[in-house]
Amino acid sequence: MPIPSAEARRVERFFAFEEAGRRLIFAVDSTAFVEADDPAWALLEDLRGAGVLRRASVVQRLAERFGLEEAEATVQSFEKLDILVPIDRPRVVVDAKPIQSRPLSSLVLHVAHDCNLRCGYCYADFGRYGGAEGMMSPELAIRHVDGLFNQLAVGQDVYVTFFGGEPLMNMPVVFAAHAHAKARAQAEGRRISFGITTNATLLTEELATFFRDERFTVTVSIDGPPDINDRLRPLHGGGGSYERIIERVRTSKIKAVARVTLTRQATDVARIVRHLVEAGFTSVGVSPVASGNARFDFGPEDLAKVMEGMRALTDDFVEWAKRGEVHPFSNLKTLVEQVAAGEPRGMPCGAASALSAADNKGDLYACHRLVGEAAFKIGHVDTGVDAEKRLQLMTEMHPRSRAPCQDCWARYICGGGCHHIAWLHSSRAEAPWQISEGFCDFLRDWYRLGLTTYARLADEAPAIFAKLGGPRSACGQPEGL
Amino acid sequence: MAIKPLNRKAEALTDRPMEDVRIYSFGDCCPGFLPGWEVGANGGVDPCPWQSDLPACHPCYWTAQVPDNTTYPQWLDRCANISQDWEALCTVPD
Ligand code: SF4
Ligand code: SF4
Repeated sequence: MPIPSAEARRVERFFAFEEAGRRLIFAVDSTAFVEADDPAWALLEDLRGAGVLRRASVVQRLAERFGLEEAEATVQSFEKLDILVPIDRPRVVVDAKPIQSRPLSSLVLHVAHDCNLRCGYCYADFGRYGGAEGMMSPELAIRHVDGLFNQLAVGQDVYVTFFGGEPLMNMPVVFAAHAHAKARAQAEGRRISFGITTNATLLTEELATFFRDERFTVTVSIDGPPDINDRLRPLHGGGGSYERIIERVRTSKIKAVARVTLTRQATDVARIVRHLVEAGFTSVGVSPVASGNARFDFGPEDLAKVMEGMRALTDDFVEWAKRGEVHPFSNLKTLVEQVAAGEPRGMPCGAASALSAADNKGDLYACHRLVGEAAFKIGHVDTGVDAEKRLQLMTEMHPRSRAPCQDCWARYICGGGCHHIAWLHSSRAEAPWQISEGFCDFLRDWYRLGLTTYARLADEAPAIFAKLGGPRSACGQPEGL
Repeated sequence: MAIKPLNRKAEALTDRPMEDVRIYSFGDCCPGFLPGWEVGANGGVDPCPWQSDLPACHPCYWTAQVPDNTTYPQWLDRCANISQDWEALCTVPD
């Protein structure tokens, strides 16, 4: 006999796991995160792999073990969580909306396609991005800035990041583009922010003062303690760059964020991050290398080692939290903040949808890592953004076109993964691009670790949430639902 | 309580009265870009803390992250003046 529709329930996706004796449930589509008691865990077992269920039967089965009252309350809580839903309710598809393009708001200027370091893993081919070494001219930088401004919506804010190669090798362009962008933003009543990513070896006190006064976010690339950094990040003329970086950062008194590239030659992420925290960086972020070169890119054993280090760092993070301090390991901090907010993330990033990167030939690309790759070119300074090409690219590279993401429990924490990595892993010119299974397993381990760490913090150091970033209290209110 | 909400989304969902549950009421709350991107850690909008942009570029963590205009092209529509209306950003308009 068919189940009457008012009685029929179906099960929405969830990810349930046990960790250190705790039973945790993460709702895939809403990203709600809860801890289960005995009846809830039993209900979950009942729901696993189920198709359509009759509500009364579910309650009854549970009542046999836990009593009617408990069973009813448990079923209700799953209904509230949208894990057990009426069969006639439309499925939640977080990213079902058609893809539209809006004005780009962020520009990464590759002001120097050259670098004074020679890091073997550099995806930019020592700043050359597959082309000849070259500096952007101030005129071109200003035209790129104008190109960005000319397509902005009224009141839209602007973000300009200076990138390279090594941007400090071309400071005249940084000054020119900064002054021009700042003046235009002022004239048009826009807020503007600047950032620069540098290896810091050319940093001076004057420059540091300029960056501080103009409120640049300064990101320093450094790979860890001398033995690691100097092997991976040699100076152009030979010799390591570590001493120079640390000395420059100290004497210039810059407040900088450290950004570490992890390679298979440097997988001890715990030692690296701990070292940089001790060296005084207030924020330390790590990123796996993406060079397309087997000498540097990770194999499965390397990923396992990295995860081990990440795990050790979560212990540090919890220890710090118990003392009331936020640990500077920014990857984990962000992930924990994301879990706290519980907002589904439809896209990995703003590449091509809000972000563009400009090079010294006048070309515009989807993001700073994709500069020089024809498939990701979205315009030119002479002709502006190619709206059609851009929309096509946005559509093609949207995570919804990546088959594995559709069945992934981490879909809305992950956002669908970096397009650059997906493209490297797919080794094909045409979309869709897809991140390799092994790397996604690594990503999912990481997201699970984030959930676990969050659950530990909720238990052992809940006061820390008030110190974590973001005005999350404005979101997630019941009335906002 | 059968389940203990751990994050804010779970709290919001379980705080709903039971009669709301049948209504299709899934909250698209700032999805796709991390809130804090446009608002400072202390709730202010100026200076916009670039630290919050930094790690959001997933998983590359360069300072170039921007809101998800693809999934939620209208995310800014309710904000004539972002420094005053940013709270309106909370719910993405339909
Ligand atoms: S972990 Fe992999 S499969 Fe899952 S959403 Fe991210 S990119 Fe997609
Ligand atoms: S595609 Fe990857 S590298 Fe480019 S902005 Fe997105 S996450 Fe960062």
